[in-house]
Amino acid sequence: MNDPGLPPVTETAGRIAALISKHFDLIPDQIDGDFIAEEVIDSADFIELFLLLETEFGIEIRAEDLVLDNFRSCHAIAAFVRAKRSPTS
Amino acid sequence: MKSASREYRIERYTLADLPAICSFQELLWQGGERGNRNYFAWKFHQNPYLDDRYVLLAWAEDRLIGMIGAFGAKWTVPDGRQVMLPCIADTVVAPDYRGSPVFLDMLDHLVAQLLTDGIPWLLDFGDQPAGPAMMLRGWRPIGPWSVAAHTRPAPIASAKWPGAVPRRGRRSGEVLATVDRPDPAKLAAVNALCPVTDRIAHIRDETFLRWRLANPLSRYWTIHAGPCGEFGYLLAHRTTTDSVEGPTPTTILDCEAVDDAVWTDLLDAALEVLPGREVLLWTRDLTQSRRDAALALGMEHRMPTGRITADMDLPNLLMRATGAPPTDLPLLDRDAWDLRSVCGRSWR
Repeated sequence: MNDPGLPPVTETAGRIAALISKHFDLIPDQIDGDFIAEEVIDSADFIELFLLLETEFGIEIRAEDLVLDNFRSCHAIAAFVRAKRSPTS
Repeated sequence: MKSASREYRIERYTLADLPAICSFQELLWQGGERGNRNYFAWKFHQNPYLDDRYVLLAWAEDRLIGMIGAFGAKWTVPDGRQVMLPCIADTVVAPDYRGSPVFLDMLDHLVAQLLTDGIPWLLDFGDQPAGPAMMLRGWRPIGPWSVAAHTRPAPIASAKWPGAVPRRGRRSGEVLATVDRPDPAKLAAVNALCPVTDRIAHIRDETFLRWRLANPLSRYWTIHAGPCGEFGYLLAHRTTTDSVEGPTPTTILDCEAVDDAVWTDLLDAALEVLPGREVLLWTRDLTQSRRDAALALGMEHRMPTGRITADMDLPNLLMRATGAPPTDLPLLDRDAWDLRSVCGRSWR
């Protein structure tokens, strides 16, 4: 479902991919798939990822948000960000 | 990412591994060869509840590239049972193996081993930055929780400790005295006078305190109340490798007293004489009157915000069920815990 005023998930996913690629010095191939299963991002670096998302998208990440399906891929993160930014969230 | 050059195997510790551990753990323990060896012996051989069976090592051929340990901790639970629930500690991954699965693989191995041995839960009090990754993989938090902090304009040097007290407490009139070598029996005797908790709490008897105070990489400061220390004590901690000039706080890990006046006098004296730039006190298990007393003494209350990134410096407890019985313990209820004496860096 599209919320008015929010960009499409695909566009947000692209923005997230660019952010992660730049911040963690990863090539696009590395963040194409399930980067939790593939351990692309180090365990100690998730806090940096969360800071990056909070700063870039103006969201707050809370303990109840920490479920694997929210962070498996750029597309999943984009859907999560979109849900957090939705006026109904 | 997994690649041929980053293959590794995970094995249980054996005595032959000790030299490699002492060298490798300089990354974390920083006690030098002798200090690290003593620390390992203290934590995994002298612990009254558990031996070294849950020390796991990751090897890349013959090079040690990761370690995780779980040391023994014994808890009373609400029905009066005593349960050994181990705590993770001493987790290190070689810098060139960051971004590999080695940390989470070691954790999974440890949990599997605990399940096999019938241990129901694994606890983690660390403030390690891997907390969010662990929560993503099913670890559950019961925190974070608030602390009271006292910040000085300049650090107080450890050398000022001797002779700072004795004196009489302003509220209680009791004698307060600093003690360089705390007597575990005296501390346990004070604990025995305090009301028994009906929550999940770590045992604070003489055996536990004797072991805890023998940590070779820690320095403890104690203030007693009463002519023979029988009315209360305050116990504070720093690691020996942290300079008092540095940012690491001094942590009050326990403060017990027969009444609020003695408790407040102990804290008042501690804020005056404990070393370091900052003194921290967990407030989650204090009564409201003692929280208020801490604030009245000038401590700042740092509360959780709910945001993971903003609360990273606050204490927390993560836990994971292994699947072994008993499964009826109310561990995920944050109000079920009484975490006095289980505090900060002193617990690792």
